[in-house]
Amino acid sequence: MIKKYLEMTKSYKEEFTTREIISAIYGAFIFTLLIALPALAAIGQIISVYLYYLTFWVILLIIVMILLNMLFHHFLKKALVLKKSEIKTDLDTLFLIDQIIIDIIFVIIGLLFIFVFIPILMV
Amino acid sequence: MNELTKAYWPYVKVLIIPYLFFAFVLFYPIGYYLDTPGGITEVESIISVDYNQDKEISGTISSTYIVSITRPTFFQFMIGQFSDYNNANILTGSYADYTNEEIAQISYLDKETSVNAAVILAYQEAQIDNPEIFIDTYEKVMVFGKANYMSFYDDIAFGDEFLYAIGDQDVIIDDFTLISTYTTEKDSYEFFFKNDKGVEYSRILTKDPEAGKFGLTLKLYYLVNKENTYPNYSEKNSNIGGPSGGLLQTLAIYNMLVEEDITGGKKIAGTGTINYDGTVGYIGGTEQKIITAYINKVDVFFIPYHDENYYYDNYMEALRACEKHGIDPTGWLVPVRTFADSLSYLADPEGYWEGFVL
Repeated sequence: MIKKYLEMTKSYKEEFTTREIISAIYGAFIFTLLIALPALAAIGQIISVYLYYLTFWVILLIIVMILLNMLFHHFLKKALVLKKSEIKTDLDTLFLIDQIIIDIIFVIIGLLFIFVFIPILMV
Repeated sequence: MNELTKAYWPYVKVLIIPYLFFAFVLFYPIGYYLDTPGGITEVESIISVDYNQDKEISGTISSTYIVSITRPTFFQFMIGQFSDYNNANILTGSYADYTNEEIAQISYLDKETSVNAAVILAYQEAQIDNPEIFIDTYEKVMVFGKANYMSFYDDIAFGDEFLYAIGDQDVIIDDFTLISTYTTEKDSYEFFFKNDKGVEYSRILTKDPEAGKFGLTLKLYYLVNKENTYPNYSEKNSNIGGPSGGLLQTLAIYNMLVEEDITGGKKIAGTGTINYDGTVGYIGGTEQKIITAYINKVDVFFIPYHDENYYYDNYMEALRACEKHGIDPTGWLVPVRTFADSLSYLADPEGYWEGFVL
């Protein structure tokens, strides 16, 4: 699995120049931010009003972050496809693995907030 | 980036106006306040006393906080309407003139002085049976309120210490209760203060022509002289402000000082400010605090009670809140007038009700 992932990453880097990848990441980040900023600001304000459901909101926030991660990779793939119509690398699988890794980090951060940081901060 | 912009430009064009509208709704503050239920905080997590370290405390004593949003955004205001637990109203009184930062400063000052009052009272009560315990206090007159017409408004901060003022015939007024007596001949007088960094400064304050006042509110506080106090205590930083935790802080500190465990294994919470004479003072946001206590399934909830005919008496408000939300107050909602009342209840819950006149 790891070997396959490394092969796909290598093929991805061969197929696109660093400039093209950075440009695609930048575009995907900006477009995701356009959706993420109001969404996260709204969730932040909902949390401030309904603080007594804090744990539920943190779980919701983890889900939203996972969805935003999906959206970012969707935009990233779209940007790369628009740059080069014939892509040999299996971007779906490559990005799915990337997403899973990032999602695991989000879940760990969320759980740390629920069990460690919130009990410390809420005094 | 360019490819994405080109591909999504039609969508961006269509969404730009709703997007800007949503941004306005999210960030524009309105002149209301919004009270919502919060949580309970164990006093032990904020204040600790270096005494009776081996004592096992079977229950918990917690203060109750609510979330009070001053000048919420449109969005906060709107989503706040979805729950019956929340209370939104127009910002009135002196709070309407204060900025959110100033309200936070007042809240911090209230909390700090409340903790001092709680320590003083708890130590004095514990001292009765244990002469080993002693506490020393000192007086400090601090800036507690500022009218918007006050001269040098931004220079004088909440919590700054009032030292003295130069009154008529150059008399030095160091008793703040005599300021109005010795400032009758002129419009302007020099006041001396000390800020939180210990720097002394003076400002010439002028009376407002319409109100005939300087617009400065001073209040006398008794603070703990830690150097002449035994046992030592320490206070951690807390995100929660306001004076409403006074009663529960007093109870928790008292429990850390005495040999017996007054909690009796119960989850005790409550609200109410504490005065130096041991009386419990009224607080705001009663309804939200009752809901918070109910959500957190506390065994005992102390609430200030002084006059059943007063509509805004906290206990009467609490009973109305219980009725409104279908909460049975029997057995856990306990009205108290003084700190001694709360001790009496914990010592003998059933006997307390027999002697309590509503």
